[in-house]
Amino acid sequence: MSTSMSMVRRVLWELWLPVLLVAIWWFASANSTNFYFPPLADIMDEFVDIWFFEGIRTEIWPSVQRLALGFGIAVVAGVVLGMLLGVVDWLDNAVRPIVEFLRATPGVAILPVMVLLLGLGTSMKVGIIALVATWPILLNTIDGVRSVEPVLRQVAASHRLKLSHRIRFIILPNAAPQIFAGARTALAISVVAMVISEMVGTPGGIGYFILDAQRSFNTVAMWTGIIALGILGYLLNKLFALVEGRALSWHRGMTAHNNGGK
Amino acid sequence: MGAVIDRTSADAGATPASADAVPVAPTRRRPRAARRARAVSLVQKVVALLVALLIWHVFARTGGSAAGVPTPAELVETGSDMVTTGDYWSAVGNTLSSALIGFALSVLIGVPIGLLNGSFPAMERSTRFVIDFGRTIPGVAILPVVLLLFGSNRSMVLILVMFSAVWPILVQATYAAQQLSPQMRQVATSFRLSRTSRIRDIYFPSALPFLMTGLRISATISLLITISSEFLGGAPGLGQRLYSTLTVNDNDRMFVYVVTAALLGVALNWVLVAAQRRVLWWHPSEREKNR
Amino acid sequence: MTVTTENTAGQPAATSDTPVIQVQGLGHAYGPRQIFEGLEFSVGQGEFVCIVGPSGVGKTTLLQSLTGLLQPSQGAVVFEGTTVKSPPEGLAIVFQDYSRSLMPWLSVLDNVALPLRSMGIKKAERVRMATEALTEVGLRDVTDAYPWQLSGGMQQRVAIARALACQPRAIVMDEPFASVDAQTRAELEDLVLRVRDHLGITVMLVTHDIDEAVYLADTVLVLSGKPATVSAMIPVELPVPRHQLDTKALPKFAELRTEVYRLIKNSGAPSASA
Repeated sequence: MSTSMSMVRRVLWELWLPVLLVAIWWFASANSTNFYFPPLADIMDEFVDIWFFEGIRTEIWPSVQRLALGFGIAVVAGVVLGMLLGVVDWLDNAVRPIVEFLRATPGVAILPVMVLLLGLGTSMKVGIIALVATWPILLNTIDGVRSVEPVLRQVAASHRLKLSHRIRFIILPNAAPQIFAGARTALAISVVAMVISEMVGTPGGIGYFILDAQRSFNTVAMWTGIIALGILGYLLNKLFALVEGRALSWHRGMTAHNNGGK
Repeated sequence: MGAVIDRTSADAGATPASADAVPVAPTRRRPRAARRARAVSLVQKVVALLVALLIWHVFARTGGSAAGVPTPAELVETGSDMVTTGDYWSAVGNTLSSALIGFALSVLIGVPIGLLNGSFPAMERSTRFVIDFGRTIPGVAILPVVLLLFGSNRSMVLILVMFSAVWPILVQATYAAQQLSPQMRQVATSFRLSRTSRIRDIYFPSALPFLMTGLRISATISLLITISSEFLGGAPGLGQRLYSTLTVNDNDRMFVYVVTAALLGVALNWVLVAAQRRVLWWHPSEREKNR
Repeated sequence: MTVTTENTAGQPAATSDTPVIQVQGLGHAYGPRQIFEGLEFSVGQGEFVCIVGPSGVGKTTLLQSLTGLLQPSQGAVVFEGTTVKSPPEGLAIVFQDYSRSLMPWLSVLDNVALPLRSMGIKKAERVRMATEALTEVGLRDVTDAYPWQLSGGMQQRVAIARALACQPRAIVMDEPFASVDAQTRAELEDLVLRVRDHLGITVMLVTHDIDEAVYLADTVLVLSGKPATVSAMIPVELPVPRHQLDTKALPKFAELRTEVYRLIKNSGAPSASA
């Protein structure tokens, strides 16, 4: 069987169910007069009108910007603090109870505090994203730094590598798979935090759009928002996977070899 | 635990290498040094905690916007008043019960489907996209719809919890069914193990690490989404209290609710970690911790 | 090729000349690639046969075909008069990777007793049989320990005990000592020889280590070539019981290992470990 044929088969296998589900939705809602579930056809019409390309510019783009900023802050803070705590044992030990406490706190419980301190605007929205997304990255970084193969540490010492080189060439690459795993979790959390912050805060963003549409009883628009948000989340994940794949290509090869070898 | 017991007994007459041939002096010194190290560690933690509380206190006392933040002392005072009220505990009870029920339902749905999914490659291939897509949809995205349909009550919360918490279990249960080492499979075949034995002695224990991971993630999400739904949707519970105290600027009580939610999260985490240790005591991940 | 009685001095007398294992025209191919072909030999009761060949020649595939874990493309294996279609009763297998073939959630005793559960044996009897097997391999004292608490050599002994617990008539071992250090390997080799003498079971052991093969075997089967065939069947006429130091110092030992090494090298296969 030629590879192009098997590729087609693979794609078919993975697509038939989603396509079927959408079709069911389409036909089941076709003549719907139900207020909450308007015909999918109408939703798709509105979807194109609203989102391409005006909606993307006015609602999605600001959301993504805030998300990127919050997520970016979380990555930097998480990695830097994580490296610090991973290397300085006594500090890690001392703050461990506090870190564990804050990490286990449901992010939504911190939201009111953020609103109190930062109001309802952009700084609150970015702040809450950054705050909840930092934890998985922080903890995974600590783990990753800790797990550097002792032999590699000895190699670094025997070559008298500078600290900055040690970090760049040994610690960081070694911790990278863990850090990426933490970042992946953080991304999912960030999206949730982004939506919640927009539902609570000042107008703007896709979260607000959905809630506002619901409040004005514009269910068609609401559904388009939900679908758009779903697609956005999905695309962000795929994008992240791409970046991760590139950055960790050496790791993939190694684990595959270790697991597949006899 | 973790000590390697090694005795060479090549010939019948050989004496096993004696484990008690260790000199006495170092052995006596070790526990004392260990105790000192533990004491130092404890002091570090306490100092860090006190420093944190101090920073909090100073922060609460200064600054304009920070005027709404109670000091640690004020928080404890308000808190001790509140915990005597039935009001407080009904909120806690609502949140806890919703989270638990939602979690249980997610498990009931997610585990069987996940296991089936992992056992049949055709099914896994077919559902791959749906699961991939579904797990990235933030549960709160459909909150407005569910709110419309069900109103501000527990049903709304439960539906949102299930929608969000089922995915990790599904995914992990799928992995659990797929990841059986070929060596173990060979052992099962070569020793002609019965089907019951295979499931009970091999498949189920080796699936547990994955299932536990899924359960842990799911439980955490359940609590989070419960409070979030209550916050955004107004269903009775901690989340709703957080919202109402925020909007009327009742900051002292709000902070008590914040800390309550945090404590719930911490308690949940503690339970999960303990459960994991009980169930997976044999797994390398747990063994390393004891080293 | 059946064993002659002079090579098994000290053994209970063989009751019959019917071979325990008969391999008839065995061959296997993965798609167009023929791994091995035309294997034809038999193994008698209580005989110790080592199959030696370079890494990658197909020893594991052969072993899987011999034991019924794999259905061969050509030929057949007959165990105690019945054609092998799946792992037969009376045959036990010891795998190379003990860390992945022992269950970490079961104690040593439970691991060894595991196959016995599926044989419908009652608990008290299972414990007795498992303890007996563990005593045979010298692990009587660690029955309650867990595999991961033990050293590599001891874990492999547990795997051997598990094979012995079912009281098989034959054991097949797949490079069982490849993952342990040299000293442990020597101990385990002697252990297997003792077990064979004591219980009178037939042993087939696959290895890439020439010294090991010559030391242990009554007969050495040299597997080499692409596709692999049996390039020679060498009876090992060394005195029994074997000793790690004395036997290996004999000139005959050096002759035999040189012969095996030569056979492997000359067939153009990648070099085996000397």
